[in-house]
Amino acid sequence: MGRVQYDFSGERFVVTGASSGMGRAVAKELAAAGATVLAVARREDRLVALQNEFTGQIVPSALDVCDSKALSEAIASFVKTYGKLHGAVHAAGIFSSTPLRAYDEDEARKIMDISYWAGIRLMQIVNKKKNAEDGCSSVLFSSVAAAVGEKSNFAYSSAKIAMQAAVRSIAKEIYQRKNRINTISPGWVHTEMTRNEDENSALNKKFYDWHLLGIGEPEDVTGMVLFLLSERARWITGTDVVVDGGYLLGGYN
Amino acid sequence: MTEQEFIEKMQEEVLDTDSEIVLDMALTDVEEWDSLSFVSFIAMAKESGFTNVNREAVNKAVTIKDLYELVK
Repeated sequence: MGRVQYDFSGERFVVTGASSGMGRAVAKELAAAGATVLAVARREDRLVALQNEFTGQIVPSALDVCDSKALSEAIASFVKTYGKLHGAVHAAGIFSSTPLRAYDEDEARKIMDISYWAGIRLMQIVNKKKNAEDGCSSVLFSSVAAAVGEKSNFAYSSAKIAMQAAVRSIAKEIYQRKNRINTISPGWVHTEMTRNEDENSALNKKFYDWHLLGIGEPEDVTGMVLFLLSERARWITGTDVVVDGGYLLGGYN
Repeated sequence: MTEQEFIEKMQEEVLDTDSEIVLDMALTDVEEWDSLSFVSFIAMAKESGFTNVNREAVNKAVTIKDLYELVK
């Protein structure tokens, strides 16, 4: 089988949720492909560790992604120092059970704030002419949970389908400068977040079996993210791309 | 809203342009003035507390200054 390698030399991206899981994997792969990455997350020690892996290519910014002012200032500072952005990835998110009969409303709202509202604000900041090169491409993490309901996950599923709906609208606002925006919907991927959920949720074990190609690894998803960020995806906008190991097929016979 | 604040909001929030914007410009000469900036102006006005700014009022505007009169 052939190998695909991306060259993002001289290009600049912002990645949220960059301290762990999918966000970290995307930031690493972008840096490995030559990009300069503004890595946003709350945990500074993890960002510094990432920076040490890719000296000069990871610019850490420890902040709460829901703090719009801090996010805006961090991006403005990055743009001033390194130049306008070529793209953005919103991978920040939390996964937490919200059973209808006993859900924690603060937790449910937090899921929406981080996954959805912070992503919307990021798109507003990133797509300003002063911050982005024409043709800027953004990818936001949705999920197969947007399409298939699982017990005790209504808040997570709602946030993820909201993201897809928003992208279809925003794409029509930003296309004039060839800017693009898409969501990606991974199936179950081995990350710190999903490991925690494996231990604490009421997920039906069939959920795992329905991934015909097995449970994914972060690098099974990052390739599609980099493709959507790249010039090769220049005709793709306002849509959702599923990368789920066959999960949405609904199981095997 | 001061004239300076208005110009900055027009450039950054409404028109998203780095071109110079001055009060006596005709809206027909502003390349970025389109249906999206039209609704963005109304949204900006409402967010700034000018809740009476509506489509009809904005439709009557001919120049940037006419827009400023709606929110100053």
